[in-house]
Amino acid sequence: MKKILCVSLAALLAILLSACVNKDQIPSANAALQTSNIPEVSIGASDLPEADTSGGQSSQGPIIAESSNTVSDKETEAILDELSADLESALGGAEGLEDIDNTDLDLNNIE
Amino acid sequence: MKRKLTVIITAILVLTLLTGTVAYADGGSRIGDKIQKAQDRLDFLKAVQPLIDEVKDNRDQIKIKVDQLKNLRQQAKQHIKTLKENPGALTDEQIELIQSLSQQLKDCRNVLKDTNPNMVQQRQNLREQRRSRNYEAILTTYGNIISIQKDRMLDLDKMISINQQIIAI
Repeated sequence: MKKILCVSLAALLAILLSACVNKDQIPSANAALQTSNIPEVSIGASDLPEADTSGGQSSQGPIIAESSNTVSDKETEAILDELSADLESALGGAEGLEDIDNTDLDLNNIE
Repeated sequence: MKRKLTVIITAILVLTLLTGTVAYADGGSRIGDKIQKAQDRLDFLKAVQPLIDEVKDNRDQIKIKVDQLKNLRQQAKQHIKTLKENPGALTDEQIELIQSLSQQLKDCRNVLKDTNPNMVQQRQNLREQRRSRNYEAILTTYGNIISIQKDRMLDLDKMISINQQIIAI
C-alpha cells in the first residue's frame, strides 16, 4: 500500500514538473516568433482583399472596388473631359484654316 | 548761188537721213523690249507652273488629312466615353499619357492657328504682285505658301497620330 502511495506521489510530482517546464517554454517560443520573419496574424479592416491587378480571380473573397490608379475617379473624368474638348478644339482649328482662292492659282489672270 | 543751194540741199538730206535713222533705231528698241518681255513671261510661266501644281496638290492633301482627322476624332471621342464609364481601370501611366496627349493637341492647334495670319498676308501680297506683274515676287510668294502648307501638313499628321494613340488606350 505504501509502495502504491509512493509511486502515485512520484507520478504526481513528475506531472507537476513537466507542467512547469512547458510553462517556461511558451515565452521563449513567442520570442522566437517575434525575431523570425513570420508575419503576425491579426484580424481587422486591413485584411480586406486587395484589388487583383493581374487579372486573376482572388480566392480570398469578393472584390469590393477595383482601381488601378492613384487618381480619384472624378479627377480622371475631368482629365478625359479635357481631352475630349481639346479634340474638338484641334479639329475646329484644322477646319478653319485660311487659304488662297482658286483665282489666285489661275495663270490667265496674270496680265 | 549754185554752191549755196547745193550746201542747203545736202544739209536737208543729211538731216532727213539722221532723223530716219534715229526713228528706226527707236522702233527697233521698242520691238526689242517687246521680245524681252515676252521672253520674261515665258520664263515666268515655266517657273511658276510647277509651284502652282504643288500648291494645288498640297491643298488636296490637307483636305484629305482634315477629313481623316474628322473621322478619327469621332472614334477617339467614342473611346473616351467608354473610358469614362470605368475611370478606375486606367493606370497612372495611362492617365499621364492622356494628360500629355491633351497638351500636345493644344500645342498643335496653336501651331495651326498661327499659320493663318501668315497665309492671309501671303494671299494679299500675291494679289498685289499679280496686278503689278512682279514675276520674281510672285515666285517667292508661291514658295512661301508652299512652306506654310508643309508646316500645316506636319501638324495635321501629328494630330492624326495623337488621335490614334487615344483610340489605342
